[in-house]
Amino acid sequence: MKNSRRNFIKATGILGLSAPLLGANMSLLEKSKKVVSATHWGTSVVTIKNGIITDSKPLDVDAKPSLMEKALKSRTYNQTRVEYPYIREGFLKNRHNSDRTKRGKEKFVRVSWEEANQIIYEELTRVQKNYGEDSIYAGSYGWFGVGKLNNPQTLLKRMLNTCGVSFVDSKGTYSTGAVNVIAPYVIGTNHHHRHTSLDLIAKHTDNIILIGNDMVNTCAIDWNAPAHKAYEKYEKIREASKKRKMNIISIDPQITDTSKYFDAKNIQIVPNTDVALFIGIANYLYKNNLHNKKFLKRYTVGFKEFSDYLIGKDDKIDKTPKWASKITGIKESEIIDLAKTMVSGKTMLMIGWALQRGDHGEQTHWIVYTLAAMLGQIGTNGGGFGSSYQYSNNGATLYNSPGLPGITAGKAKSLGTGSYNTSFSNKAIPVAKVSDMLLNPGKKIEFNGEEVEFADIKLIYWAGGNPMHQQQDRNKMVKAWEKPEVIINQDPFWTASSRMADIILPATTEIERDDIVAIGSKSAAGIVAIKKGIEPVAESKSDYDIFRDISKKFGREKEFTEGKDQLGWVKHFYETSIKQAKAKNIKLPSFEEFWEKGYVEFKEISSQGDTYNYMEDFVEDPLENPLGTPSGRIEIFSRKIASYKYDDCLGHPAWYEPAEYLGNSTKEYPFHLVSPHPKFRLHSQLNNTILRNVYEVKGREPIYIHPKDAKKKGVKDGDIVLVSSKRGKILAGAIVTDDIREQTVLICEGGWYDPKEVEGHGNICVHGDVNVLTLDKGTSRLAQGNIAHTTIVNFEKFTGKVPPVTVFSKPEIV
Amino acid sequence: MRKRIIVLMLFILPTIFFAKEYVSENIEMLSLKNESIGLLYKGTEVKSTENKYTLSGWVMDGNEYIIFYSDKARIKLARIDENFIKNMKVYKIQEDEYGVKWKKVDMNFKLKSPKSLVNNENELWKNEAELYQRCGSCHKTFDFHEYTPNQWPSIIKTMKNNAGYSKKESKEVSVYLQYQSLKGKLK
Repeated sequence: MKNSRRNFIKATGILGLSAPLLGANMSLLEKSKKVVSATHWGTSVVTIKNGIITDSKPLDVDAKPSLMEKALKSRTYNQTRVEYPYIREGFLKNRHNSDRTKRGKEKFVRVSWEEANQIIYEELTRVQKNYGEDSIYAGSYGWFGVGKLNNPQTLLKRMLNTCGVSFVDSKGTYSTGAVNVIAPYVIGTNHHHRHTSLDLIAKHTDNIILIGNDMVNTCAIDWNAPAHKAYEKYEKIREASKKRKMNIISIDPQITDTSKYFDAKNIQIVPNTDVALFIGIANYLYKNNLHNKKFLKRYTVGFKEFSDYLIGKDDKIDKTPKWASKITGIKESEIIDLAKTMVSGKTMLMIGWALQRGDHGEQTHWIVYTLAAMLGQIGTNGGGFGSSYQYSNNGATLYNSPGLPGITAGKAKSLGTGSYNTSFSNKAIPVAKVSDMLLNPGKKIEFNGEEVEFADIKLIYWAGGNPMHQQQDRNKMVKAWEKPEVIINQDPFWTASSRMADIILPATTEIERDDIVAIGSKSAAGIVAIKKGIEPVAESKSDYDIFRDISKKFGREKEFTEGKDQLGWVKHFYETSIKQAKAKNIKLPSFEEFWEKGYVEFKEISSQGDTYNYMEDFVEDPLENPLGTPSGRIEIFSRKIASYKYDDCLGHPAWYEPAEYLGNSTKEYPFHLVSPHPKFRLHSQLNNTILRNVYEVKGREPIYIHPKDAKKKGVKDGDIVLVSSKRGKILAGAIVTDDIREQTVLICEGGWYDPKEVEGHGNICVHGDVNVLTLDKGTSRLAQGNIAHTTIVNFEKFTGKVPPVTVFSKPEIV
Repeated sequence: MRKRIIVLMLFILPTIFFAKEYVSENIEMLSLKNESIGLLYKGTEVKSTENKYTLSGWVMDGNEYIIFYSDKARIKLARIDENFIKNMKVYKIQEDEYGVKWKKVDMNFKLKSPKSLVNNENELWKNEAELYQRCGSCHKTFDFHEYTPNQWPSIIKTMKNNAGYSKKESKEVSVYLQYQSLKGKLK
């Protein structure tokens, strides 16, 4: 049965309103209402008066609401909303023969949806016909708005598949480029595995080692809507640490929010040298016979090869704590103390993802898995390792819940090709290789034991992401962006990626459309309705409607929609959940009841706390429950990786000097730059909201500078500084603080790119996009992940005429 | 002409007498004396002659109760009751690169419900292929050969909550992916 939204409102709308209004006439009812919605940073009850959002507050299911939730109104009615479909002036005139160096500089012309869709149809068809199946890049990547239906990247592929348009895809993520590739070789699965519960850690763990892990900060966001359940557990750990002796140690160049929260001991390591530190510790354990030989023998392979490396059998370098001290800037005695601490009790190594976004990022996780194996506590209560505690509240309690499916990329099979793959092209690239691909068509690179040949891309379609923030080395990327004949960008906002495109399609945000999503990716604490509370801003449309209309141009609307409208899909997803719930003996309300209330909560699996212990089954019986590695065990030495014969990624974890770090810094660029996840944004999302006032310095993205370095450079707190690397320059606002290590500066990723010609400096970003400075190079031939954290820079007080930041207002429109 | 027919027969005969069939749902295995001896898993290829069946695979020395696809691809073909391990015929023994001994085995058996066999392998995985598409609602779906047959079950185990698979579905998708991965390049 076709679901009509209107009918639905008729049936449920009145009940959804507050009791005192019952009985009043409909026009009155429309004037004020409360609607449940969700984003990646919160679940909200949104107050709407006369069709306008006046306020929002978090749902009670949220254990620790984030300040970001407060930005809902500011984000919806934002100066930077793309209100209508637009086309770059030169492109509208000359189409694919336009001057592509004008991207980002020319004015935009408002067009009708009909015209925009027709041009998109013509261009997709032309490019496919003239250049073949490897000519369109739809590796579109990003976090977009939350929702199981309005996932623009899946919908983009669904549209292309449905319409018989082939495309080149991307592989992996910017966040986890290296760990995602190395982990399956070593532990047989990816980093998303469920982690040992934080309850067990609170109860049993003696030593929590935070390694580049700022979970108190980064768990504010969630791939679904957040439940923030991990925060209850952090509190439990903090309480436990007051009652019994617990060593909480943070290894990080920064004194993080997490470190402060737990009152941790800080080891402010030289950035990018963590592998050397852990090798030094491993060397000490090995030589002092402190490693767990029984565990290594039963549960791992390849310790012999690694221990030969530790003592320098071949390279004649004995990698002692003294050796590690020289590289890491940590005292030898402190390294030895750390090693002794680790073996003194139950130790949990909690490594974040930041480290693997550095040169040879594969090694950071491999060495931590290896060290955990040497300690021999994996699979025991509260011991071992976890590499995603900082993501989406991992380690929080799992609730007894059904799953919630979402829209899929559709079936290429419907065209009679027999393939269920999401693309016909086999030229998918590691995601961070996009600039290299565009600049070097036909070039071959090595990747994960295979060769990838770069396609010659003529058209890019990006939806719900901001590549002009994600990708490293912005100036190189801007050059790369001049290569394709057509660039289409679909987004609610005038991000740099919208500004650098030819055709810009305005998408809605969550509160302007119907959708549904789970609460808590890792906890699965509930399901929340994302209800359309207001009409779409100006002429924006939901991603679903945009792609449906393009499919219509191809005569494939029915195949795209499968006969369902948006609410029809939402109901379908929920009713699939009901079926799963029945199988698990969970009672779910009917869709109508759920939609009226706006959310459903589940119960914790156990009221006694979560006792999940990662790898417990493997440790109990490694033959019955083998890991997914070739040997079924933890591979300290991987024959498979060794067989690739990569000199930048051998068969065992090893220390490699990064391309740029303090150990090889120059007089010209004497500071190391790190660019962690921001506190009040989801990457670049929300940078355009009122929250900017909370953290910016004179309207610029902040740069953390150590007081001694600031003094040397004559920079004071609140100054605007010019930060430069070999690759470009940006302006940033100085925060002088000893939260950052000496010789190291910190600028969070995600500041919007605002390029301007500045006298004496050329084209620079005047707002503070850190990826203007970073290096575009792969971690190694194995993973080809990005290495944003491997960057050396210099900074100085900016003394010229301060250029205005204009990226938060609309571009020039004809 | 006659010679040609004989040659042709030589090719055709084995396919008549030993038809390849695939298990479409888990089926109970019976010994030739009709005792229950184990469980044959979905996806397993068997050879049949009339109502008798043969299964070939590999078992791990000391843990012979699970028959795997090979020593390198741990796809479970069947689980054999400890008392009937003796019914296996061992063809060869070899040690893998990690020092684990593997035995190549054959086993003859009958089936409780032979209706659960199909001739066309492609008929097996329709539902699983649909289920796998669910992964694409959060992230790009992976090409099958991006993980090995050994890795896929661990990957699905990791991700099953996000995809909302029931325990049964998650097992079915894992096996489907293991077989699809075999068709790709073994890593």
